[in-house]
Amino acid sequence: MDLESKDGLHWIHVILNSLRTGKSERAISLFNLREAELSSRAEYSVFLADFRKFILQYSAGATCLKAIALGKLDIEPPTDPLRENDMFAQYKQLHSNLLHLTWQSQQIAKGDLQQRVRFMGDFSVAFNTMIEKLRVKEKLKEQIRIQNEDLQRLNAEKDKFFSIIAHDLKSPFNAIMGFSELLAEQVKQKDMDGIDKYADIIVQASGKAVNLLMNLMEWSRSQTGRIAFTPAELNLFEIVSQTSDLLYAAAMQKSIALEVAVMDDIRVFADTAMLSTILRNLISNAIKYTRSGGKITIAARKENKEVLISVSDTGVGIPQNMIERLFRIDDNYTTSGTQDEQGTGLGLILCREFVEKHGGKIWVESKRARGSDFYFTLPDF
Amino acid sequence: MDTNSKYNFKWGDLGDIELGRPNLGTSTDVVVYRLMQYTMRDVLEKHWGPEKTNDFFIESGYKAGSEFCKNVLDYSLDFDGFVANLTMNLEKFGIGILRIEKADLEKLSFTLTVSEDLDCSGLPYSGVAFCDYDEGFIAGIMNFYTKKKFRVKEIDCWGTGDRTCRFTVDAIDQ
Repeated sequence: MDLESKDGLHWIHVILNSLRTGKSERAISLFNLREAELSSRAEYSVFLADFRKFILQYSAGATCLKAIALGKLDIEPPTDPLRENDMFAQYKQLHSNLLHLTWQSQQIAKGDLQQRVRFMGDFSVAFNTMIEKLRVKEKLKEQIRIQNEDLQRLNAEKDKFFSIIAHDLKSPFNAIMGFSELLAEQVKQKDMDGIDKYADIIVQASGKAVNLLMNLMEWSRSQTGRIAFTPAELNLFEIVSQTSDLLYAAAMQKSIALEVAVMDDIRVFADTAMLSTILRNLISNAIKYTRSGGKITIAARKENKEVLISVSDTGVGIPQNMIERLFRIDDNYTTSGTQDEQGTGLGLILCREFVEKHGGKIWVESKRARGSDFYFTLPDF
Repeated sequence: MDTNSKYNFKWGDLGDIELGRPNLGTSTDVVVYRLMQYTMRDVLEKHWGPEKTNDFFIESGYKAGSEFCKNVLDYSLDFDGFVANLTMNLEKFGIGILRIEKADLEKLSFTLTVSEDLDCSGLPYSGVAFCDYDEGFIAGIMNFYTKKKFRVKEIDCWGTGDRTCRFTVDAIDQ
């Protein structure tokens, strides 16, 4: 192309066309190339200064817009040194909005669904609606997760219930039936040899069955919301004494000392039946896991606005890795006693449930072969 | 600094405004705030020169930021929660609309904007960034929250022809 043959107006059109088609660098170089020539013509001399400024501004603006359109936000938007071009302020605003929007999106991706966009018109409405829908969806997911957990717990409770019915309750009744038949047979034959032992076994098995049935009944009532919770002012010493009296014979049978170290002025705000169940289960367990000649101590002391009650034994202790499983129905842990007494693990689960109903806590500290200390708290009166 | 001064600002010095202004309320016109700030700048510059005056504003902003964080903001929150709390309170007190543009939590380096800024929004172009007090205010908040020192620089301002104040906030290596 013969550049010299074209007139000035033609070159102005070529330069403008380069700008329109995004070739701003070419527009600048063409202008530089033709500027001296065009300046020599009187009709262009006034116009050229403004035209140069226009090309430079347009070029900077186009470069910025192109970068923003491509999502390249790591640019510095152009500044207008004369503060005349409002377009540059708009570019800067757009750039700022997109940077902030990027940051907000990053926060949302991290799980912060409280972010809301408050600029860019209809876009903000659409964006905020999307976040709100996400938030509702997340809430629903959380509800489903909680429901699933509840279902799993209910299923575990059902399994536990059937397991107790099927196995644990069957064992004492097998003993009762077997030894009753043996007893009846020998009595018929006037053979009294060993029948006192049979009678003892029947009594023990009956006791176990009754204890288990009581726990099952209370647990079943607590699960179906049919158990009454009527806390009142109670003298702790009286309740502990009544419960330990009931278990005194069982402790004596294993030559275990049962000591009540509770001051008679301690009062708790508790439900009598539930507190008796908690104590009965903890003391029964202590008897079960303590060898002959051992000792069980029931103690209590006031701490702040609570009463801390402990049932301590000198028994076999509990392995550390099993302690967490003691109070969980879905992962329950139970072992035979020192004289092969069988248990269900239901007692401790009942204890936790009843203690928590009072707003208290239950926990255990134990050392193998040294014994266990079961603690629980109840509200002071 | 006047080492003989016995005054040491405490949040309680602000008084019980609700009690004291049962009819006029706790808010006032931005004009009044700016009137105090810019007349004070005028007097301070005449006595101490522009550079020293900027330092005064930065230092007092820093103290204000620390006290604001201590007494108004919930600085026990994690960073995202803290930013949300800060944004909410800056708007509640009519200080400005905070937006984060960039955040590098590892380097503790941020770019943020404050729109409708209390100190400068609407000021005519003068080629000068005015928000020295805000620089100190932001540094004070960040220092109280992170227990690290920060360098805060205003890079855009109404005074320099922009329509929002933009600050770079960077932790200083110690």
